[in-house]
Amino acid sequence: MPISTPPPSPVSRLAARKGVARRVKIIDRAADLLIRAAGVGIIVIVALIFVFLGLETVPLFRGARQHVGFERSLPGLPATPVPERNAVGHVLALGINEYESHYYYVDATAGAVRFVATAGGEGDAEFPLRSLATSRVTAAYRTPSRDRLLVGTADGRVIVAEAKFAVTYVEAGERRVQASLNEVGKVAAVAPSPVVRIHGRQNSGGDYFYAYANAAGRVFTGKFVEGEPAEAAQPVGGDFRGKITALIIDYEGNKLFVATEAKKLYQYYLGENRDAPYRVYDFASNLTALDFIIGDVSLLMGFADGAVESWFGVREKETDTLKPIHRIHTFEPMPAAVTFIQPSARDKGFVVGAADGTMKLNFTTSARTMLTSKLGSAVAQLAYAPKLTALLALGENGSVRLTNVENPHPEISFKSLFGRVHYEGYDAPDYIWQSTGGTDDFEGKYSLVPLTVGTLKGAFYGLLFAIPIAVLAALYASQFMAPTLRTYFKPTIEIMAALPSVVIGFLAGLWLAPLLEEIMVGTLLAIFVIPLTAIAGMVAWSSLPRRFRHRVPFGMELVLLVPLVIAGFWFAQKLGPVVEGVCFQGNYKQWIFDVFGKQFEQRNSIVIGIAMGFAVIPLIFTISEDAFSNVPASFRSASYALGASRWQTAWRVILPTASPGVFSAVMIGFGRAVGETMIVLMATGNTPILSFSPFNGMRTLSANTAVEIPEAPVDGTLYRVLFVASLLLFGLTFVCNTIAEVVRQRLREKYQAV
Amino acid sequence: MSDSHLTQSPKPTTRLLQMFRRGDCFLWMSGGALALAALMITGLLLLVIVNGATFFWPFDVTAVDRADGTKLLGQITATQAERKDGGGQIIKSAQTQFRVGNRDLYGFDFVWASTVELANFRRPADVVQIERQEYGDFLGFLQRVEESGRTVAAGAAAWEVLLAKAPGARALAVRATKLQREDIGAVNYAIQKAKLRLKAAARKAGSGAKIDPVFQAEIDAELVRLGVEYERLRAEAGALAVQAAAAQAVFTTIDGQEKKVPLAVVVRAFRPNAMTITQKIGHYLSRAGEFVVGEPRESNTEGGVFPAIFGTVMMTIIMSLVVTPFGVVAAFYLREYARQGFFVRVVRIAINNLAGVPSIVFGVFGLGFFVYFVGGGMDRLFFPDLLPTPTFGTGGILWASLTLALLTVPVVIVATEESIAAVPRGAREGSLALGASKFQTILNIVLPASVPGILTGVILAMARGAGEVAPLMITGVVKLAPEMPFDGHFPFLHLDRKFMHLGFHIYDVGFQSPNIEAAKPMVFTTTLLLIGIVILLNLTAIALRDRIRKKYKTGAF
Repeated sequence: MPISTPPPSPVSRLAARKGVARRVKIIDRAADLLIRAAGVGIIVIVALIFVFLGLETVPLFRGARQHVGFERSLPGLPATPVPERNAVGHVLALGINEYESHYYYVDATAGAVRFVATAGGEGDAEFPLRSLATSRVTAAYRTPSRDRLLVGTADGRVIVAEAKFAVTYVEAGERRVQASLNEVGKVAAVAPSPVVRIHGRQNSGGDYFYAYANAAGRVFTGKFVEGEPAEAAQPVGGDFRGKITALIIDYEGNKLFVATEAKKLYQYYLGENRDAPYRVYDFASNLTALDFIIGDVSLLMGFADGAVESWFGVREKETDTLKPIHRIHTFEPMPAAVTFIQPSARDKGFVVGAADGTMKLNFTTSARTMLTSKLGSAVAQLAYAPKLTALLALGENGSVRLTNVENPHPEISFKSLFGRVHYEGYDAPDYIWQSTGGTDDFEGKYSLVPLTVGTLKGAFYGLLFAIPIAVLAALYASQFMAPTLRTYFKPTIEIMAALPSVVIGFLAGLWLAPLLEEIMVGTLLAIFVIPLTAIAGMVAWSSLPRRFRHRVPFGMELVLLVPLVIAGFWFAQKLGPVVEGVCFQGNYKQWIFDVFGKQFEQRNSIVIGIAMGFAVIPLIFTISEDAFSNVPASFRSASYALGASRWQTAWRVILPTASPGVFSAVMIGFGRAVGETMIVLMATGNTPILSFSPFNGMRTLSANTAVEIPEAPVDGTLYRVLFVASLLLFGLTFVCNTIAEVVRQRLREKYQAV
Repeated sequence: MSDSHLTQSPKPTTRLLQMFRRGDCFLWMSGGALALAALMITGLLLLVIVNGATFFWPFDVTAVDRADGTKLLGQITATQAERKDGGGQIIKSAQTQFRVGNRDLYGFDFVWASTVELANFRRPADVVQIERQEYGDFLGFLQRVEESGRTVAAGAAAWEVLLAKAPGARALAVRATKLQREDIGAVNYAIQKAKLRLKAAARKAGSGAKIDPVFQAEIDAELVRLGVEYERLRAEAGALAVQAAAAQAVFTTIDGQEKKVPLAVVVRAFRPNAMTITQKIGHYLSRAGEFVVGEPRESNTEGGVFPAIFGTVMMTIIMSLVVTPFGVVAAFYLREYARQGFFVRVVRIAINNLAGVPSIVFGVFGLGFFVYFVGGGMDRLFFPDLLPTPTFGTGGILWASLTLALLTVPVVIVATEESIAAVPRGAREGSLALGASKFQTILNIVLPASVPGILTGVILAMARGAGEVAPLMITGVVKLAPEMPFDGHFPFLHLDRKFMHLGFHIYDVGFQSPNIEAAKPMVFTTTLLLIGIVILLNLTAIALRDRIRKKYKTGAF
C-alpha cells in the first residue's frame, strides 16, 4: 500500500473489506457454478456421443409406418353389381403411377383402361382399348415398374399398352399430371380360345416378352418389339394337369413357370427346351398367387393355405447352368388363402393379400413382415407405388384403399446383419458384405460378420506379433536394462507411439508389402533364427575371458544384441531362398496354392500384423513396463536373497505379480488394434471375404466405415448400418478398455497394500 | 545375487550349462525383443529419412544401350539381384530400374531392364532434365530454341538462351494462371454475391410479389458491369497465355523423337550430369523450398504441399482453441470441485475409455452430428438461399476440428489433472490460510503452477490431431481444395471450407493417384515432413513434462 495515502478510518476500512469479501464471494460462487456446469457439460457431451450413435441406428430396427390415405368405393363399377361379377372379375391389373396422382385399372366389362385421380374426381379418364375391336377382355397383367399393360382377349389375342403420365409444372412446386393410354401393339391369336392368364416383362432394351394360358389349357410365349410386325406366339409343350392358376415369364423370355390346380409347378428353360418342363414341383397346397421379385430371379409364391414363400434357382454343381428352384425364405403366413402378390418396383419387397382381407408388406432378404393391415373384404387386387410410399388395395366388395407407407429400412434385421442369408444368385446361405451394386435390382448385402471377423483377424495377427516382443522388451527394460541405456531406448519407443498411423499404413502398403512378398520365407525363418542368434550371442559372450566380461556391467547385453538381431535377420534372409528351394520347390506362393488351395495376396495379414505391431507395441510396452516397474522392490530382493537368478526372479516373481498389468496392457493393445483404420485401409486389399488365412487380406469394420460412409446417402440404410458398425466397434473397445482399467485399478490397490 | 561373476566354474561347458539352467538364454532373448523393437523404429525412421530427403537431389542421368539396339536414358532408381531356386537355376535375372521420364511420350515413368542386356553405361554431360508444369520430368538433348516458329539459337548456344528465356516465359504463364484464378475468381465471387442478394430479396418479398424495381435495376447494372470486367480479364489472361507460349525449346529424346517443349511449362531446366556439387545443393534447396511453400501440381504428385501444411496447421490450431478451455475446465472440475466418489471414478474410467475409442467412431459421430445435424440445421436457419447447395451441411474445417477436439479432449484432461495433482498441498493450503477464496487459489496458485502440464497436454493433443486421418476423411478433408480456409475475401476465415491435410495427402497420393510408382518419392517426402512435425511436438511435450517432474521433485515441501 502506498505510504502517502492516509489510512482510512477503521469503520470505512471494515466496510471496504466487507465489500471486497462480498465481491470475492460472488466471484467464487459464480466460478464454482460455471466450472461445475462446464465440467458436467463435458461429461454430458461425451455421453451424448454414444447416445447419438445409438439413436441413429434405432430406425433400422423399427418397423414401417402406415396411415390410411383414403378409402372409398371404386368409381366406374356398375351401380347395381352384376351378379357373379364382383370387383374381382370386373377390375384387372390395378396400378398406381409414380407421382401417386392416379391409379388405373383395366375395366373388363367396358373393355377400357380407366384412370382415377387420387385427389378425387378431377383428372379421371377412360380410354377404350381400340385394338379390342369386337372382343372382350379376359385377362390382364401390369408390370410392377413402368406401367406396362398386357391384356388378353376372348378371341385369343394379346394387346400391349402403356399407361402414360405427362407432367407439367404449373407454378413453383405445383404439378399437373395428365394421364393417357398408349396402345403399343397387338399380337394375333394362335388359337381362338380366350386368354385366361397372362404375364409379361419389358426388358431394358424395350422388348416385351409375354406368356399366356388359354381356356383350352395351352400355354404360349412370345416376343414383341415395338414398331415391328408382331411375331406369332409359340406354344409351350407339356401336359399340364389341372387348370392353370398362374404363370410367369422373366425379362429374357427364358424362364417360365406355370402353376396348376393340381398343386404342381412346371419350370421351363425355354432357351433349352420349350417342349417339356425342366422340372415339375409338387406342393402340399394349391399355388394361388405367383410372381417374380424385381430382377426376375426369386419367385414369390402364395398358397391356398396362406403360406407365403420365396424360391429361387440354386446350382447343384459348379458347372450347372440350369438351376432347380429351392425354398429360400418363408414369411409370416396369411390367415386365409393368398389371393394376390404384388412385387415392389424398386427393392426386394412385396405386398401380399389374402381372402380374409389381410394384407402384409414383406421383404425377402430379411424375411421381415413390415406392415399388416386388413380390408373389409377379400383382397382382389394390390398395387405398390413405384416410389414405395403408397399401397393401393381393392377389396372384393369394390372398395379401394390407399395406404401411405413409410418403410425406409426393410432389408435390415438382426439376422441379415449377423446371420447367414441366402442371397439371390448364391448357392448357399452366406455372410456377405456388398452394400452397393451396379443395377437397379441389386440386393443389398449387409452382413457385418465378415467385417467383424476381419477386424478380429487383423487384431489377432497384430497382437501375435506385438505381444511377445512388447512384453519381453518391457520385462527386459524394467528388470535388466542398465540405467544408462534406458535414456536411449525409452524415448525411442515413445516416438514409436507417436507415429501417425497413416505413415505406418503407407510404408506397410507400398514398401513392406512388395518387399515382404520377395523375402517372405526368410522373414518367417527370422522368427526362429533371431532368438537362436541371441542365444548364440550368449554362448559366445560366456566363452569370453572373465576378465573382459567383468568389466561390462549388467544390463549391457543390449548393446551386443542390436548387431546380433541385425545379423540374425540377415542370416535368415540368406537362408530363406535355400529353404524355399528345398521345401517349397523354389516358389512358396505356388506351394501355398498347391497345398492349401489359397491364393497369395501381396497385402496380406502378415503385413498387417507387422504394421499393426508398430501401433500396438509401444502401447503394450509402456503399460507393461509400468506394471513391472511398480512391483515392490522387496519382492525382487527376497527372490535374489533366496538364490534365484535374474531371469528366475523376473519370470517366477515379477511376471506373475504384474500379470494383471500385462493383461490390461494386452487388452488396451487389442482395443487399439481393433479400431485401427488407416493401417488396414492402406495395407490390405480390403476385400470383405471371410478367410482366416494369413496370406489373405481382410476388410475391417473401421476401414469399411471410412471407405463407405462418405458415399452413403444420409439416413439411408447403408448410412445407418455403418453407424451400427461404429457402435459395434465402440462396444468392443469399450469392453476391452473398461476391463483393462478395472484390472489396473485393482492392481494398484494391491501394490499399495504390500 | 547369482550371476556369472559370482559363480566359480572352472570348465566353460559347465558354466554354459549353468547359464542355461539359470535362464540366461531367455534373458538374452528378451533383450533381443527390446533390440528388435528399437531397431524397427530406427529402421522405419531411417527409411523415411533416406527416401524422403533424397527426393530433391538431382541424380546423374545414365544412358545405356540395350541388347535389342534401343537405348535408355534415365536415372537408375533401383537394382534387383538375380534370384535362384534350390537347384541353382536362375528364376529371375538381375534387373535395373530406370526412371526415364517423358510420360507424355512413353506413357510410363519407369523401365525395368535386365542388367545383362545393358552395355555402354555413360553419363552424357549435355542431357537436359526439365521439370515441367505437367506430365512430370522430361529428359532429352537440346537442339535449338525457337520463338514464334523462328530459330533463335541452336547447338551449344541454345542452352544459355534457354536458361535466359525460360524464367520470363514461365513468369508470364504464372501471371496468366494467377489472373485466371484470383482476379477472375474475385469477379465470379462478386457475381455470385449479387445473384444471392437478388434471391434473398425475392424470398423476403414472398412468392408472387414483385421485387423492388430499383433494387432489381441496381443488381442488373452490377451484373452487367461484372460481366464486362470478366470478359476483359479473360481476354487479358488469354493474351498472356499466347505470349507465354511463343517460345519453345526443341529436344531430341534418346530414341530419336523430336519434342517441342514450350518454355512456359518449364519449372526448372538443368543438366544433372554437368552440375557441380554446389549447383546440386542449390538445386536441392530450391526444390525443397518449393515443396514447403509451393502449390501442388499434377494432381498433388509434384510441386509443393503448402495448402496441406496450411490446412493441417489451421485445423490443429482451431482444434486446440476448442479443446484447451474445455479440457482444462473439465479437469479442474474433476480435481477441485467434484466430490471424489463413485461418480467421479466412473467418469474417470469413461474418460480413459474415450481415449481408447477408435478415431473412426469419432469421425462417424462428427459426420452425423456436426455435419448433418448441426451443420444442416445451420444451413436451414442462416443460408436458406444457397440450398440445396450446403454451406455448413457438408464437411469442413470447423467440423473436422471439432471432431478432433472431441478425440483429443481426454489427452488434455488427463495431463491437466496430473499437473493439478502435482501442485503441492502446502501451496494451496497456504493460499487458503491467507484468506484467498477457492477460486482465487485456483486462479493464482494452482493454475499458474499447472500451466506447463496443461501445455504438455495441449501439445500432445496437437501431435495426435496432426497425425490423425481417418476421422478427417469423412468430416472435411479433400484431396485438392480449390480455396484455402483463410483468404482475402470477407470474412477472411472460412470455417465452412474443405481443406487439405498432410496425412490425407499421404493416403491420397500414395493410394489413390493414377501413377503411384511415380508419386512414391513425393509421398516419402510428405511423410518425412509429417513425422518431423509430430515428433517435434512430442519431443517438446516430453521435455516439458520432464522439466515439471524435476521441478516438483526438488521443490516439494
